[in-house]
Amino acid sequence: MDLFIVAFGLIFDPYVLLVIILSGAFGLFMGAIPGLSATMATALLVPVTFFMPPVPALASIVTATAMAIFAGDLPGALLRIPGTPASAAYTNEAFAMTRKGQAELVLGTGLVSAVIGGIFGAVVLSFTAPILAEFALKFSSFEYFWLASLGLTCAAFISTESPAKGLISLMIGLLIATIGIDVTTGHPRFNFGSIELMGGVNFIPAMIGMFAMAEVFRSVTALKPPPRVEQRNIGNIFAGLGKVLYRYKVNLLRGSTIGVLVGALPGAGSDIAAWISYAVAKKFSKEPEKFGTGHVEGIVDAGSSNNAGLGGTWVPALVFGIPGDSITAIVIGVLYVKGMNPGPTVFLEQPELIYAVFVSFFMANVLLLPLGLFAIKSAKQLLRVPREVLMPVILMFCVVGTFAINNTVFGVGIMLVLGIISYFLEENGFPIAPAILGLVLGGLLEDSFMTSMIKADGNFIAFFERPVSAVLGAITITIWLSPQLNKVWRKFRSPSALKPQR
Amino acid sequence: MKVNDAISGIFFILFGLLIFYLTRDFPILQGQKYGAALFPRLIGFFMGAGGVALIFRGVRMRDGAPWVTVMDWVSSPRHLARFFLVIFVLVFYILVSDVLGFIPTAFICLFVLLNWLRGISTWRSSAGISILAVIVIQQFFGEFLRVPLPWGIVPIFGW
Repeated sequence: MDLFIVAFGLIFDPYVLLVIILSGAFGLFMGAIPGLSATMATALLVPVTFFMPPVPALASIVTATAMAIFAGDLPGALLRIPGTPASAAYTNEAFAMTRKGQAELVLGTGLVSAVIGGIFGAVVLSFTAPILAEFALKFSSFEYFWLASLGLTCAAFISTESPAKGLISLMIGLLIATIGIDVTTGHPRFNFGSIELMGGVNFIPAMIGMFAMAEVFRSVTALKPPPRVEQRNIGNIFAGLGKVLYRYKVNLLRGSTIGVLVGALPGAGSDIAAWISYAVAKKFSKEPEKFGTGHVEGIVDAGSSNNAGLGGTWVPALVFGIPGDSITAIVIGVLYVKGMNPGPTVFLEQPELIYAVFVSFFMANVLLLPLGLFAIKSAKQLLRVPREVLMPVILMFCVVGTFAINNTVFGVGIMLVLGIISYFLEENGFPIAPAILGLVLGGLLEDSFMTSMIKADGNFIAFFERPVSAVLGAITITIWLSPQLNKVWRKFRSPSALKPQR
Repeated sequence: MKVNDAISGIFFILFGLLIFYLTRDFPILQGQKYGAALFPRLIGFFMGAGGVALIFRGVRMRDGAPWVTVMDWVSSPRHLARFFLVIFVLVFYILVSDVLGFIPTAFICLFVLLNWLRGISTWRSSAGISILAVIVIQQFFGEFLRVPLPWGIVPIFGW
């Protein structure tokens, strides 16, 4: 409890509070513009947080993402385009409600369920992370190797149209992480004679390239202009809201719980949490036939779920240093830049920092109510910002942001190259999140792997000798083999099931 | 360019092999059978394995579709030019920002891009937006965050 008081002191500092409010406004803006996601908001914030002490840096990312995930509902409800992937699950439903003249109700429900879900996620994060961290202190390089493998495996296999593409994307990220001096032998790898590459590919330009540059390319080559929002004023969003929330109180709890659990899974974030919650809501609803016609029930579930998921993704990130999604992958990168090694030892060495993250989660979600209300009221103007003006300015912001890390234009080159690569990868159905996770975790994975190999004297059995590492290893390998096991299982049950499915 | 998964698969198999080739003379750890090449080679192996899976997937799902499809915007010269203009602007920035300085370079980049995206008739407002954006970015990064943005030909001044 003392730590919470210390953490409150760290957050309730005029500078930190100002950073939080500005990041909140930034997050709302980024979330509300379709194509600019919470991940991109984080990516663009990182060069700025680079110059801040750890507490405001982390608080600004927490706030911006919480705001952006909610703001994604705005274009979803008003234009039928999700502002961020986390709103995609219920965009059609929300738009159908707007069509019925219930724009106020759907936005109000989205806002309040986001606040409730976010606070729920913050509570779960604050209470489970320290307990798990105590357990994680006993881990050795074997466990870390398997944890990193498990996290990366989930990232590659969950939510991709083909596991092979997730795997390749992950390998690209890991390969980029090997560029530069190898820590075990001191040998430079893949630098092709470049002195600057000898230090490795800095993760900040790489991440800005993969998330922001790729989006700039997509936006400038889009043939269809984005639709314009109808001229319509938003009235009182709280009218009739109490009745809805009271009626669906179980949904709020269920959505939040699913959100935290899915978020805590490595590799799955808010967007998957929202899809699952929406599906669960429909399955257990008393009136499933109303879903899709502008029914508020699923929005309560999914709207609370995606914000609760945000808290959930920080659990593995803070406790093990294994990110739950691409946003926390960026956070892990930021922690390394700040000289902190994410993982259980941070809870011993700098517990006040961890608690400051918890407090900023509460702060962000409480602030979401007034700021979110403001964003809803100004949605009409927000959604009218022309893309042709925004993209060049964002591009310039990316350039300066990458330059600021090492004060050389080399970073700008890295950003450009990786931006082009990830644009083409995404066009061909390769997901980008596994690559960024691979890039962030590559160092840890190789270190723990090589350390373990040396400790075990090249004997791979040692990876399974400790009980926790054996369990983690078994889970990881089962997931690796699951597509094959699945095929064998289907063949066993009915020989015709193996025919190519179209 | 959208290619069939089988072609991506072949590409990544070749890429995996390239990793093996590039790591051929990496040193090994003393007293061990492996060294700096082990991890990259594992990556190359898995990349190749993913490539093999993609070849099967690509052939199975092809269903008469062409092996390579060009993205629809390529046939619109205006959009094709936009794609290359973004690359060109960044290369231009990399090459000249040190000599010319941040303020003029960023202004040129923004002005050209804005004019191209919005049409030449908007040049007045595009110039205004460019000037405003350059001032805001220069103040925020250069003054507030103390990033040493190059001054180039512009005399150093501070507000």
